[in-house]
Amino acid sequence: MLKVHNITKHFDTKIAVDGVSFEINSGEIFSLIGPNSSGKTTIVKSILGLLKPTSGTIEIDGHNIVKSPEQAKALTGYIPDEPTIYPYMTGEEFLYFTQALYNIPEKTRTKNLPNLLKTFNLGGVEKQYFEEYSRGNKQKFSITAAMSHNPKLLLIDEPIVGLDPTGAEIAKNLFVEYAKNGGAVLLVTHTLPVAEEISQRIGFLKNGKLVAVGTLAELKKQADLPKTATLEDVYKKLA
Amino acid sequence: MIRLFLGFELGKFAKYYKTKTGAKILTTLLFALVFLFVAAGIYSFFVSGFRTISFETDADIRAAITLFIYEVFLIVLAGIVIVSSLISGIFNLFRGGYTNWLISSPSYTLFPRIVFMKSFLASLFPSLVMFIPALLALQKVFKIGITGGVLLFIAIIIFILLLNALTLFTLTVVSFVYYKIAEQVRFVQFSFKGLVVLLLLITTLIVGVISFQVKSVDLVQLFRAENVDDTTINITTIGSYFDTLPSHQLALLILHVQNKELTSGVTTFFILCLIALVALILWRITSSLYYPVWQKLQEGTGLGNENTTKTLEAKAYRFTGSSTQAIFKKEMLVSSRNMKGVLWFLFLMFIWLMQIGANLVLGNNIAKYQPDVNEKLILLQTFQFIIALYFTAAFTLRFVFPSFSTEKKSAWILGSAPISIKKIFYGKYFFYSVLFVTVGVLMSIINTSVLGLSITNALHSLVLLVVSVLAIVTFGLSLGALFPNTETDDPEVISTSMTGFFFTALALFYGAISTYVLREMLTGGNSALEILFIISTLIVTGLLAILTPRYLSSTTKKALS
Repeated sequence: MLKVHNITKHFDTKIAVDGVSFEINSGEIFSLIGPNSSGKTTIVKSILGLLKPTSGTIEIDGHNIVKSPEQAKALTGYIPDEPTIYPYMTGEEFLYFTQALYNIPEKTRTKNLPNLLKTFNLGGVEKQYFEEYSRGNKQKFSITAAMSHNPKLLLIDEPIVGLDPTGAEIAKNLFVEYAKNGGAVLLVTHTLPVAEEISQRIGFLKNGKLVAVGTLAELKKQADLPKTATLEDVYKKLA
Repeated sequence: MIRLFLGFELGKFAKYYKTKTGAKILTTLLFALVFLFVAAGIYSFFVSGFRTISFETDADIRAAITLFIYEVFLIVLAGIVIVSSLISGIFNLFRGGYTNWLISSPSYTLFPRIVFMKSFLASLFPSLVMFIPALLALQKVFKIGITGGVLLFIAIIIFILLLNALTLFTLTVVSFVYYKIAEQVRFVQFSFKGLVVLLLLITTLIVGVISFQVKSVDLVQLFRAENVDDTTINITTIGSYFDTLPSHQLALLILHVQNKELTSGVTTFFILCLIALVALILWRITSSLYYPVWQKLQEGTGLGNENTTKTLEAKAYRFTGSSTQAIFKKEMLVSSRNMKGVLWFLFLMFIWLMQIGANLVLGNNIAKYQPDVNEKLILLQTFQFIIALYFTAAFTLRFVFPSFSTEKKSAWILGSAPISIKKIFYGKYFFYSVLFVTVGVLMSIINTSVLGLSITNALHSLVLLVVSVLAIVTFGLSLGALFPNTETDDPEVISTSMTGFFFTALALFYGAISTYVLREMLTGGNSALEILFIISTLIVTGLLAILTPRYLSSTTKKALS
C-alpha cells in the first residue's frame, strides 16, 4: 500500500531524513519510533505531500505523492500530533467539511454522521466550537474525521496523547479493527506500549536514518536483548 | 515584571534582524517608503489646511474656526484610538493566547498593566504617523518654535495615554458590572459575546451623543459675515460645545502654541496632564476587577446549554456542493464567526461611516449655502472614491492578504486533503471577491446618494470602483499566497511583512491612478482613458487570477506544512 523509497529531506543545511526506505502492506500496522527530532513527523508529512522530499519517491497504492498528489491523498487519512482545527467551527461541521474535501456524496455525509459520532461517544458535544473542546475531544474529532472517508492508508502521529483511558482504548481498537479490514497504518509514537501492543512491524529512526526495522522479536535480536525484553528496552539500547 | 516585558518587546526588534537580515532590511525600507508616502500626504494636507486658516483676517473668527477644526479632528482621532484599543483590549485582557502561565503565577496582578502597555504602544505609533507631519506643518505655517513643538509632542503622548487609560477603565468597569449583574439576576447570562455586544452598544451611544453635539454646531450660520461683530463668536463659544470631551484640552493647547501664547499653553498642558493622571489612577484602582471576569470567561459558552445548542443546530453548515464550494463556505463560516475579525471589520466600516457623515454635513452645507455646486460635487465625489479605495486596501490588507498565512496551524486539514492548491485559491478568491465587491457597491451607492449625484456620474464611480476593488483583492490574495509568512499566523503581524508593505504601496499607487482616471472622466469627459484603464486592469487581474494558482511556489507548500 505504501512504498517509501530512499527519501531524504534537507532543511537548509540540516538533514532531517537521510535515505529512508520502508513499505507497509494492506492490513498491517507499522510503527515508527525514535528520539525527538529523529525525522518521524517529517516522514509522515512527506508521505502526505505536506513537505516535498529532497530526493526519493513515495507511492501510495501506486500513486506518486509528488506527481499525482490528489489521487494519492484521496487514499489517506491523517491524524496530526497537534489537532489544531478552525476554532469557530463545530465538531459536526468539521466532519461534514472533511467529507466534502474528500468528495463524499452529500447524502452519504449526512447518513455517516450519527455513526461517526458514535465512535467516541461524541453525540451531545458535536455542536460546540472547537475552541471550547478539551485537547482529548479535539483529538477524538480529528481521528473520526481522518477515518470518515474510509481511507486505505492511515497516518497517525501520536494518537493517544490527550485521550482519556477509555478514549485511548477505543482508539487502539479502532486502529486494530481498521487494519483487520485491510487498511494500512503508519503509526508514529513515543507511547511505546501502544506500538508494542498493536504493531506488526516497528522501525527505529535515529538522526534521520532508519537504523532498525522488523517485528518486535527481530528488533530484540538486532539489539541483542533477551526474549523477555520490552520495546522500551529495545528503544533504550538503540537510542 | 514590567521591565521584563518592556525588555522583551524592545528585544523583539533586535531579534527580528537576526534572521533573513537582507529581506528584513528591505522590509524596513519598504515600510519607510510607505510611511514617507503617507506622511508626505498628511503633511501637504495640513500645510494647505493651516494656510487656508491663516488667511482669515479676523483674529477671533480665525481662532474659533481653528479650534473647531482641531476639536473635530481630535474627536475623530480619539474615536479611532479608543475603538481600536477597545477591540484589542477585550481580546488581550480576556481572550489572549498564552496568558495562563502569567495568570497562574503570583504576578497575575501585573497582567492588566501589561495589556495597558501593549495597547498604549500599539496606538501610539499610528497616532504619531498622523501627528508628526501635522506638527511639522504647524511649524512650517505658524512657526511654533522648538518649545512649542516639544510641548505638543509630549502632550500628544499624554493624550494617547489618557485615551487608553479611559478605554481600559471603561472596559473593566463595564465587564465587571455586567458580570456582577449576571450573578444576581437569573435571566441575564454572562458571556463574551454579550460583553462585546454591550460594549458595542455603549460605544454607539457615546458616538451618537458626540455626533449630535458636533452636528448642533451650525458653522455656516455661526460664521456668516453679518455675525462678525457678534462678541459670542470666539473660542469660548466653540469650546463650550466640546469642553466635556477628553480631546478639548489638547485642541486648546495646539491653538495656544499656534498663537504663541506660551503661558496659557503651559497651563492647558498641566490640565491635560492632570486629567490623564486621574484617568490613570482610576484605571489603576479598577484594574484588578478584570480577574473574576477573566476567570468566568475561561468557562466557555455553550456547555450544557440547550438553547445555545438549538441555535447552533439551526445554523450548522453542511458544506454541500463541490470541494471548491466547501472552501468558499469554510471561509465564510470562519470569517463570520471570528469575533475579533468581525470587530475589526466593523471598526474600519465605522471610520468609513465617519467620513460619510462628514461628507453629509459638508454636502448639506454646500447645497444650503452655495447654489453652484457642480464643481465641488466632483471634488467630493473624487475624494469619496479615493477614500473608498483606500478602505478597500485596508480591508484587503487585514483580511485577504493574510488569508493563506493564517492557515498555518490548521493547514494540515487542507494540505492533507485531495484538493489542489488551485481549488483552495479559487475558493478563497471567490469568497473575498464577492464580499468585497458587495461592500464596494454598497459604499458606492451610499456615497453617491449622500451627494445626490447624476446617474451618469454615479455609474462612472460604480464601474471604476468595482473594477478597482476586484484588482486590489486579486493583488492582495495573490501576493499573500505567493509570499506567505511562515513565522506567524497573526493577521496583524502578517500585514506588516515586506510583501504586506509592498501590497500597501501598490494599492496606494493603483488607487491614485484610478482616482485620476475618474477625475479626468468627470471633469474632461475622457472616456477613452477610462475604457483603457478598465480593460488593462481586467487583463492584469485576469492574468494574476489564472497564473497565481499555477505558479504557487514551494513556499506556499512550506506554509501548508
